[in-house]
Order: sequence, then C-alpha cells, then structure tokens
Amino acid sequence: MRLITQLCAAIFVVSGVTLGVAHAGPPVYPLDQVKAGQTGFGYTTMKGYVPEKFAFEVVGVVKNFLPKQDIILVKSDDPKLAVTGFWQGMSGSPLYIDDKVMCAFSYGFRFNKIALGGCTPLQYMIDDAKRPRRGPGGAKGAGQLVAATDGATTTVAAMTTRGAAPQSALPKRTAVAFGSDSAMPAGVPLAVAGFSDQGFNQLQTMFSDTGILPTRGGGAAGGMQGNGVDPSAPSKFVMGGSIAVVLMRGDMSAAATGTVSYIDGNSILAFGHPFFQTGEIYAPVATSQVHTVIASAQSAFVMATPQREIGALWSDRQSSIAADLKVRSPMIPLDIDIEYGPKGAKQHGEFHVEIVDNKFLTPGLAGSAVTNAIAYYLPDRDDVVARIKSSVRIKGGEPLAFVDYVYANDGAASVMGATRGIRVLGPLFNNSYAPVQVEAVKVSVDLTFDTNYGEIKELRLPGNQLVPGQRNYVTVVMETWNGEDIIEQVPVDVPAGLAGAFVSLEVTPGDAAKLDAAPPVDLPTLLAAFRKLLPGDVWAVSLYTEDGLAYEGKALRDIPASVQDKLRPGTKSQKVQAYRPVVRTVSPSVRALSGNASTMVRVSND
Amino acid sequence: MKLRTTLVAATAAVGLSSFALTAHAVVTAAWTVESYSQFDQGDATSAFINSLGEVRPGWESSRVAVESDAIWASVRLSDGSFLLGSDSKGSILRVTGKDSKKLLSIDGAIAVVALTQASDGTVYAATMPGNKLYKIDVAAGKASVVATLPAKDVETIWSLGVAGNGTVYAGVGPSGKVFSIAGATVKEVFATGDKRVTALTVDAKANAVWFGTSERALVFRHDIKSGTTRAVADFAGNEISAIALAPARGGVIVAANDLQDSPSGPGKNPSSVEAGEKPNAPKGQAAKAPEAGSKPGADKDAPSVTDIGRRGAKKGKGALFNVTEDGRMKQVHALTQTYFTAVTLDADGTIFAAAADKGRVYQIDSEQTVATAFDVDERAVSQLLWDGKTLVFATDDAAALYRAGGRASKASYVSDVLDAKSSSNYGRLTYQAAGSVVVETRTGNTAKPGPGWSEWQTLSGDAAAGPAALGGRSGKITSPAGRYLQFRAALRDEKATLRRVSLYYVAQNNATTIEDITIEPASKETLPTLKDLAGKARSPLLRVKWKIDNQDSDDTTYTLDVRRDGESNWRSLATGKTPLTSNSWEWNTETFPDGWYRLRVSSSDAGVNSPDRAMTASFTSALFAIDNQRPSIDGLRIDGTKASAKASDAISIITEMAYSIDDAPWQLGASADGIFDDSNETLRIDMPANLAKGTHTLAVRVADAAGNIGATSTTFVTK
Repeated sequence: MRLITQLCAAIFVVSGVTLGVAHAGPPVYPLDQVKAGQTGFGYTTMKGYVPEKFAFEVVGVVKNFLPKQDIILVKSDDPKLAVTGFWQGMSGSPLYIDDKVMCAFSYGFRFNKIALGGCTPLQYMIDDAKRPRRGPGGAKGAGQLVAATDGATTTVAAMTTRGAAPQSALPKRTAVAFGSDSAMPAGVPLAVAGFSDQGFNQLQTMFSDTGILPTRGGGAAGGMQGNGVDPSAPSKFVMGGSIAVVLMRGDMSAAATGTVSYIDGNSILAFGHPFFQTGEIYAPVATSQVHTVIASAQSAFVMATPQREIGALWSDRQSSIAADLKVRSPMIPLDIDIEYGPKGAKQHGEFHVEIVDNKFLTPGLAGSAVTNAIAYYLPDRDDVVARIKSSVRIKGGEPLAFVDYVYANDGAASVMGATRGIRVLGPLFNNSYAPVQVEAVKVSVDLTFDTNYGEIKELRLPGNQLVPGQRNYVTVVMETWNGEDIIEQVPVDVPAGLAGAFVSLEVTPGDAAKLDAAPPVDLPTLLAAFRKLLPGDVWAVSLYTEDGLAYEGKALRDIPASVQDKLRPGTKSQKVQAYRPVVRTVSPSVRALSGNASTMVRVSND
Repeated sequence: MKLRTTLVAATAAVGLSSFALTAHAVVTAAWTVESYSQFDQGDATSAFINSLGEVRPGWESSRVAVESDAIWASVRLSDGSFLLGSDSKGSILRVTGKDSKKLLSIDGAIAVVALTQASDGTVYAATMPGNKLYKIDVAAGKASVVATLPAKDVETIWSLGVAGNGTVYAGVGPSGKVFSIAGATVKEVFATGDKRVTALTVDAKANAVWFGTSERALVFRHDIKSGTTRAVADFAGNEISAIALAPARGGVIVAANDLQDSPSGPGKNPSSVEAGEKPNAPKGQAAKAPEAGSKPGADKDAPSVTDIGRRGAKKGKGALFNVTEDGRMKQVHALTQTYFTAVTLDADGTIFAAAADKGRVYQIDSEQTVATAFDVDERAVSQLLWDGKTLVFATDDAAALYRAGGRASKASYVSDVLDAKSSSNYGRLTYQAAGSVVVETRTGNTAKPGPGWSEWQTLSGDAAAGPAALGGRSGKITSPAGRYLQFRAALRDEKATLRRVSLYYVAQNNATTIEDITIEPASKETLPTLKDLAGKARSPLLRVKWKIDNQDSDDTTYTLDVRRDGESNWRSLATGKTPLTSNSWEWNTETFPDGWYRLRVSSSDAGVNSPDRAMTASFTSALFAIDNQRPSIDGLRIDGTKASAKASDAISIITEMAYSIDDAPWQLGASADGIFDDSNETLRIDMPANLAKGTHTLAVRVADAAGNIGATSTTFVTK
C-alpha cells in the first residue's frame, strides 16, 4: 500500500461561515476557501527530531465526512513520500496553504496506490480543545457505571473464578466508510520496548480494533525517573515534530506516536483524529525520536522512541488529541519480583514499570507487563506451580493483598492469569461507587517447576453424619497431573448449633470459595469484600445452612422471623438483600488446588 | 389520632338480626346491633369496640414523627424524654416533648435492638449485629463499650434487662444463651438450646429473670439467687417476642408468635428437620384461634384485592398467655392475621399488647374483655412503655412515638347501613347506654350514604326505658321514610358506653303492578288443515298470562274482568273459589259469543295488609278475538284442471287451506292472490292432470286464525 500526502495551507469553515482567528497560535486557513487544485506544503518528522517539508495538492473537500466534520482530501507527489506514501505515525502533520495551517493529516486508505489521504481542518481541532475540562477523574471520577448493587455483587463473585475478573473494554474504532473503499485514521503506532513475543502479542490482542498498532521501538518512554533520555532530545514540541503518548515506561514501555499539528502556548494539538476517542483522558506526553520510516508494503509506519516527558494528554476527541504542557499525569508503579528454581537455589529477577492511570488501560497493560516478565524469566513450557502474592495499594485505605497458588502444565505464563492483584484492577477502576486512586501494584511470584497439584474430584464423609461441636475431617480425593489419585484429610469445624440440621458442605481452594460477606453497597464495603477473599493456598470447607440477609452492606447470619418481617417496610424502599451465611473452616494446603466438590450432609443430633 | 374500625361492605347489615313474621307480609321488622362483630361493621372514631359488644371512648394521643424505618427498643428517662433504638444507621434517637433528635450512632450497627435502664438511671444498649454491651452517656451523646460477649456465641444481643443489683442480663443469638454482665465480668447464665433469646425481663422483686426464645418459642425463668433456671413454657409457635411482668395476675404475660417459615436455603435447620421426622411429637402449647370476626384481632383474611403485601414480609399469628412460675398457662387473647410485638400491663392488670399489622394496640382487662385501644395509621406498633400512668407506644413503618392522652372527647360511632329492601317507615330505636350518649339517625334511598340522604336527626322523646340497671333508652326515629338507614352515637364523656341497639321499621306498601297481559290459545297447533281425523279437536280455552312488579314481595291476589268491544260494562270472570294468586289463568270462552274483547287484570295485597295500607292496581289488555265459529266454504266447483271456492269467517282471517282428492293425503293449497290475509279468500286448486277417468271426490278444508276449521267436498267425473 502506498499513502501519499500533500501539504496545503490552513483553511477553516464552520457551517459555511469563515471564522476569524481568535487564538494566539499560528494563523489558520479558512476551510471555505479550500479548493481543489490548491497546493501547499506540510511538515512531518521523517528522522530524528526535526520536521521536514513536503508538498501536497488539494483534491477536494468531503462534506460531513464525520459527524459535523468535513475532511479535506489531499495527495502528494513529493519525492520524499515516493517510497513510503503516507505512514502511520505522521497523523497530525500540519498542512499549510499560504503559510496558514489548513489541516492535520489524519486519514489514509488501505492498499492505496498513491499518496492520497484525508486531512482534518484545523478549526475543528481548536474547537474540540476548547471544551470544558473536568480535571483528572472526570465529573464523578468513578469508572464506567454499572447497576449498583448487582453489578458490585457480580464483580466480587467473579473474583472467585480464576481468570474471570470483569474489566472495561477499550473503545473500538472501526473503519470509516468512504466510497467503495474504507478509510482508517492514519493508524497510531504504539512504540513498544522491552516486551517479549508473548507480551507483545498480548498487547496486540489488547489493542486490536482500536487503531493502535503495536510496533517495536525504543525504550526510554519518557524516561522513568529521567533515566535513558537522549540528551539531545528537545524539551519542547514543534509543529510537525513527533509526539508520544506514554502508556507505560520503565523496564517495559509503550507509547503511541503521532505528529504535533498545532501549538498555542501550552496547548498542543496532535493526531488529527482520536486516540481512543474517550473524551477527557490523562496520560504523559513526550517528545519522540523518529528512527526511521519503515516502508512496509502493507502499511508504512514510523519507528520511534519516546524521550522527554513535557506535558500530559487531556483530550481525546473526534478531531484530535490535545495536551497541556503545564499538566503532569501521574503513573502507577508496578513492581514484579520473580523467584524461581529449586529450594535453596532460588534465582531472582524483577521488572519495574510505571503504567498510565486509566480505567481502560491500566488493567490490561499491567497484565501484559506481568506476562512479559514471566515470559522473560520463565519461558519454559513445563509443569509449574506458582505461589503469587500480589497487592494493590489504594490511597486512603489498607492495601488489598492476595495469595494465589496455581499450577499449569504448559509454563509459567499460563498461571499468571490467576493473579488477583492484577485482576482486581478492572473492578476497582470501574466500581460504581467512588473514584479509587491506585498508588502502586506489586506482584511477587515464587515459582517452581514441579507438579505439586491436585484437582478436587471427590468428597468422602467420615460417616453419614457430621458431629456437632467439634472438628470433623472429610476426605478429599484429588487427581494429580499424571492421572493418579491422592487423598487428603481436610478439617471442618461443625458448630454445636447445627445439631440436627441438614447442611450443604462444599470443599474448594480458598480463592474459589464464595464470598462470605454482604453485597457491597459502597466503596468501603466493596473493598472489605475484596479483603475477605481467601488466599489460594488454603482449603476452604464451607457449610451452608439457612438464608440470612444483608442490610446496607452488613451481613446478618442469624435472624428471628419477626426481624425478617420488620426489616421489610411497606412505606419505604426495602434495603434488605439476599445473603447466604457460611460456616467456613480454612486450613493450609500443601499443594496447589483446583476444582470443587460438594454434598448434602446431616449433622448429628445425638 | 383517629380510632377506627374497618368499614365493611355497606350491605352486609341485612344479614344481621332483622326479623320478619311471614315471608310475604309487610310487617314490623327489627334491626339489632349487639355483638362485637355486628358493631365492627360500623366505623368507630376515637372510640373502641370491645369483645362484649360495647362501644366506648378511646384515648386521645399525640404523635411525634421519628426519622427511622422502625423502632426496635425504647426506654423512658427520668426527665420524661424517651430513647428509641432505631435502624437509621444504628442510631439512638431522643424524643423530648414534640422533638425527635439523634442522640448518637453506633458504628457498624444496623439497628439498636435492645435498650434497658438500671435503677440508677444507667442506660445500656445492644445492636444488631453486635456482641458488645454499650453504656449510653445521654448527656454527652456517646456510647462506650461496657463488655464484649464471646463472638463465637453472639452475633446479636437481642434482649437486655437489669437486675436490682445492677447486673445486666443479655439474651443473645445464635447460641441462644443468656449472659450476665456485672461490671466488666461476663458470665454465661444459661444455654437454652434454642437459637436466640428474643425477650427478657427482670423481676426485681422476685430476683428472677424471665426470658423467651426464637425458633422453638420456649420460656424460662432464672432464679438469680439460686442460679437455677427452669423451663416453664413451650409454645407451638416459633418466637417469644415479649414478656411482661403481671403482678396483678401472677406470673408474666408472654407474647408467643407463630411466624411462617423462612424460605429454605441450601440446608435445612434443625427445627424443620425435627418437625419433618417427628410430625406427631409434642409441639408445645398451641394457641386457640378465636373465630374470625368474633372479637378484636380475630380478623378475617383480607380480600386479595386489598392486600398489596410487602415483598418478603412474613405473616404470622400471635397469642398472649398468662404464664406462672410453676408452668401454668392461660391464653388471654390471640390474633388470627398477625403477631404480637410488645406487651405491657398497668397496675390494675389490664394488658396492652401491640400488633405487627394494622397499627393496633389491644387492651385486655382482667375479665378478658378485649378492645382495640389504639388503631393508628402506621403498620406496626413495636414498643409499649409507660410515662407514669400514661401509655406510650412507638411504631414501625413509619416510625413515630405516640403518647396517650385522656379519654377522647369526640368519640363517635357510625353504624353500618341497614338495607330495608324497600322504602320503609321507621319506628323506635332502643339502646343500652351509660354516661352521655346521643343517638341520631339518617335515611336515604342510595346504598352509599351521601347526597340526597336526610340530615342526622336526634330521636324524638329519647328517654330511659325499661329497668334502670340495664341503662335502656328509647326514642322515636324522626328521619323520613327511606330504604336505607344509619345510626350514629356520640360518646360525650369518659363513662359513655353504647351497647345493644335495636330499631324497628315497616316497609312502605307498594301495589303489585301489572305490566303486560298475554292472551293466546291454550293449545296451539300448527297447520290444523293437514291433520287427519284422529287429530285433537280444537279447544276454546285461552291462556291468560300477565307480568307483574311486586317490589315488596307481599302476597297478592288477582281478579279478571272482560268487556266486549263496544260494550260499556266489565263482566267479572269467575276464576275459582279461592282468590287467584298466580299470574296466569286458563279461560274457557265457549260461553262467550264471537267478537272482539278486552281483558282487565287487577291486583290487590289486601290479604296481607290492613285496609288502610292495602294497595290495588290494574291493567287492561289490547283487543283480542274470541272466535269459536268455523269458517265457511262456498261455491266449490271444478272447471277442467282448476277448482275454486270462496272461504270466509266472521272474525278471523283465513290462515290456511288444504285439499284432498279421493281421500289421498291432504295437501296445502293457496288462495287466488297467493296470500292468506283476509277473512274472505278465494281458494284455487290445481287439479292433477293424470286423474283416471271416472268419478272423483274433492274435499277442501280451511282454518281461521283462531284454529277453527271449516270443510266441504264435492264429486266430479273425469272423462
């Protein structure tokens, strides 16, 4: 495919009315003066930090190409673009006519044989950047709202199913129909560094259908703690210069690369199209060093390395992204420690990264980072057992801490999906109650190559009745990696008060035990519910008896009938929710567990 | 506050104690309202109806709204204010005068479910959930933990009481134990073996603690001095909600409830398992449910159309028992549609018991007479306590505090509506009363009292009647005649009491009107000209039928008169030796010459009414014919293939013709103009073309509208 760009002068029209220039930036060419055949020049960075000039010609103006937005079609016969055509990473390149900025190059065509593309008139970008800013966290700060109580209940329940934590999906961007072909925003290359193939593939999956194209790039990523920055990297943006939106930095990095379209004081406009089109969003922006343009026949793209962080992205809308040089967007540190090898000969490795603080991006990027770290140290496709301790530090509250104890027969990468410190990020960021500020995430993996694992297959009772008021033992039959059965005696404490009752007895690994707490009703009760989740390296034997109830996030196990009646007013909305009380015995497990078994049993009344 | 009883459908009163001497005579009838269920059909305002069938003034009360869904516990402070345990974020509210303010909240609590006060004024509280005993500093508005009960035994402290020495007793769940807390020392006093101790009261004089449980509804008495505990009662229900000391009666009054089971969870509780395994095992003392409608609280099932229900709510029944230390028990009241929430007694031993539905407080005096003492708009009355001699109660759904006042000064009772079935004249109203009672009546002709009814009018000559001891009074109803009647009574002083009310009425006599008369042949046969010789002869009988409207359903006799058209005198028809009471009669008209007549039917109810009240009515029929003469056929002749004749009748039109040749089956024929619409018709017969040569006979018959048949014949020769 060949993409061709031509530069043209800035023209701008809104609803057919030429607007005066009411900003302090460079003059803008009015859209209503743009005509086919006009020629001009554009600026884009093809190598290093300095933009280069290229020629273009206006092909025409397409009205209402996007909602309330026209697009200018341009083509370029400039020899500099002869081989590559328009490439991914040059979106945002300003095109000038009569020394006025007309538009920012923004759309290309798949498999196009000439350098022909779309260009977003600049005034749309300026207007989008004038929208009110709510500040980090948005109006309410909380993530995507879901049905309050049920949603929260589902969220917590999902945490007891390995690898099934809910999280918000990234906004998808689909092709924009344009004639008989389809146009795509000039794809945004995501300069990825420090990722193995496994981690890279995970990023590709994460960003599929988003218009973000992970590509191998350099790794300074704006310089975590300022390390690794090219001393010659500029400390300010220039129109036509390369700009990076930093999503991750440190031992691994990922940054989206585009081109600066317009600078008005501290306000930077770039891309000429949306990033994810998520409206107000915050992430660091950095100057970017272009190594070269890869003249891919399928889709040419720029290989770049983000360098110096000098502002923060704050707006991601249809016409452009906007950054503010006076704002800095904090990132969330993620520390990954890995110990592996036999006891007494443990080896240690670690990764440290910072991840953008964003409800859509943080959970997925953190997961990719953990997968990448594991793949680096432990690519072996063998039987592994991992004890994963993870914690999430939350501003203003006790950290959430989890222990997962899991087995896989195909290598370490497969067990990392169980890491609840990562899985909980989605529910946290997207909780329906209040903003959560995650300050740090830590994952410690202790991994051995062995098969110390059992899948719960069968439950055997000591007799036809349990004995109340004392510890009973049930026999759990597990199947091992090679199909052999192993048997373990697992304790269960039976309260005296259950004498004569029929109970449902369930044996599970601790992390798969159903939550024994009232459905959350606010952030504190949601966090409390997460904190009540059991570690994965224990047995959980649960006895389910009668129904209790929950009221305003508090669980009541033992309720007289009259209280059940009294808590249900007829003159107000009822606050009572279902709650199933559990009598639970937790005991250490000597092996990684999975599966569950349950049965009904009578408690003796003798 | 409004005191009221449920107004049932207005027409229900008809089935009360009206009486009538005969079924179809208009005589004096009576309407008596005397039992609880009869009075309960009416509507009492600021008054109550007791189980003896007495209407008495209730008490005034003042209401203070409280910010909570429900009130779970209460104590009265020495300054006259009240502390209420609420479910508003586990807060304790303080009600002083008309003001309600939050005193404090206890973190982590859903509700403050127990409050008690020591003799030195110290207030203790417990929460749901919570295993801590709190001491309440009312002045500072703070709660401090006095003791923490064992978490393995205690999710909630459901009940509290304080002994004379300051020791606090706490009933808990789910272990069903009672603990004592003296200072910071917590001791287990007794394990009931049940799940929760939901009611607890300390008898300071007897140095004993009474407590009751939830799940098996057991009652225990703990002797503090000896440290022994004995089970004294076992009820068939599943929850003891309240225990009140009853020194005037001996022992305690226990509220034993039977609420419907919880929805089954994944397991089954021991009680339900045991009940299933041993269905015939002793179940403890069962309550005897009173007959629905027989006394206050013996409610009938609410019609489904009026019962919107509460999601997840539990229905139940409740009973009050007087339980003594030695285990004797006596039921003093029971509810059929809900359960008891609280109970207290006054110094005379009168019991006040609160119910979980309809906002009622029941009063049971020492003679077991039951009355609905209070009936408020809130759903449940949850707390009962005393402010000196004044009863105070708190409600749930919505939460409020009520203070009883003096006897209601504007107590009144309005009866149900009497439907006398027809407009009636009313006579005397007699009633038994004490104190100042004024009875009034009003009447109307619409089933629902309203516009068009007469004003309320006092009785004329309302004065004492009968033995003075009975308090009988009587007066003449002055309301105008009408089909419907209501009475009302104003109870104007504390002693005012209304008992048995009877009133007398006579329905106004209405004539039985004749609305229509039908006269037709008694046996009407179709196509008589086709009948063979064995056919039935034509009858001269006419059946006379008339429709009537007998509004008062009194017995009626009828007389019949007839008059020939053109004559002036009516001739009476002799209908038999006894008066004709049916509304049909068969009339043999043979003795009446043919002609056009009118018939008159007259009704009279003189047989069952005095001459001055007897009513008559009559109705005259349209003209009808008496026609017993046969039509004639003249000029029958045959002309080739055609035969013709003239048929005629003096009264009626010719309606059909048939002919027969040589005694062959009769065949219908036609008139010359194709339609039988005149008393003179030309008959035309098409003769068969294939008649054999020789002599033949042609017979012809015609019939008139009255069914008379005329016939003729002739012979003819075919060549």
